Amino acid sequence: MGLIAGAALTVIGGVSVRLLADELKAWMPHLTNRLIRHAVGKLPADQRERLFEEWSSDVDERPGDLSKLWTAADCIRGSWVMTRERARRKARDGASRVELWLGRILGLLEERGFILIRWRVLRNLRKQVARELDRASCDRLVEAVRVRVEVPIREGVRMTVRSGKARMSAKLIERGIAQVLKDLAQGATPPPPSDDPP
Amino acid sequence: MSAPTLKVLGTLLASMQDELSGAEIGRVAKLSSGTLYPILLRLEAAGWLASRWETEDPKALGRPRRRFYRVTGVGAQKASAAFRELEPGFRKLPKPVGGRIAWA
Repeated sequence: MGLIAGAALTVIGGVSVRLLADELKAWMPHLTNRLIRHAVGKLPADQRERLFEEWSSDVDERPGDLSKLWTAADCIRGSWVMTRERARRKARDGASRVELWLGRILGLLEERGFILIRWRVLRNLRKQVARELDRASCDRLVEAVRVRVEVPIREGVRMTVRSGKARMSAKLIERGIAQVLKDLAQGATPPPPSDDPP
Repeated sequence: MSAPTLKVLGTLLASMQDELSGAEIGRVAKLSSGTLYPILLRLEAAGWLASRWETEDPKALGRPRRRFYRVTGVGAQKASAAFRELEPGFRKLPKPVGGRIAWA
């Protein structure tokens, strides 16, 4: 009796495993396709179509189903690497643009006395700016200064700023700029400058 | 320049064919897709590599089109310079004994 049950179980198990394997095999192209679509979905629109086709071709050249699946999954890592590189590049570009202008902007604000900044020996500008200013804010600042301010801007002010103990935030810079522009437009006399020397 | 990048450039420069597909480069350089394609795209954006789709119709081929990569003139110059720069370092390595590197 036990022998018959064992044999039956073996047969049923064998059939089930085979059915499962067939099912997985049938689903494999769909699964790899989904993985590649997921990978390219994270990329910029202009790269999606190209990489979808390229990765599909790469996956297609792999010999076995499992290696196809593995390659498709690895494309997700590739897409993540590309996204991260792009974000870093963007932050670096943004930071260097801000770095270029921030000294001038702050020099102007300080000269006009509209913001109270304690000038210190300045460090970590790049890190701080990259964290606190996104590209859009950076562009807004640059445009604001380039287009609307027609006063001499003091050159060569050296940079990273700490306002007392608190770090100077992007919002504070923007508020300062807005204030300068508003006061300049109204022809107001600026308040006396801060007693902290540059 | 990272080791995988050098592998990619070395593979393309050493290849007997003018162009290689991404899969072929990956196979020869022993790099996975997740490492290879970011490098290929970066090198292409820098102008070191150029690429093109294969011209045959994918329907006729019965598979997705391949994209072929080749090293540009600028890429070849820069890659050669990078390899030359590394050469003295390789010379300092101990000489292989019986096909294996003999570490002191």
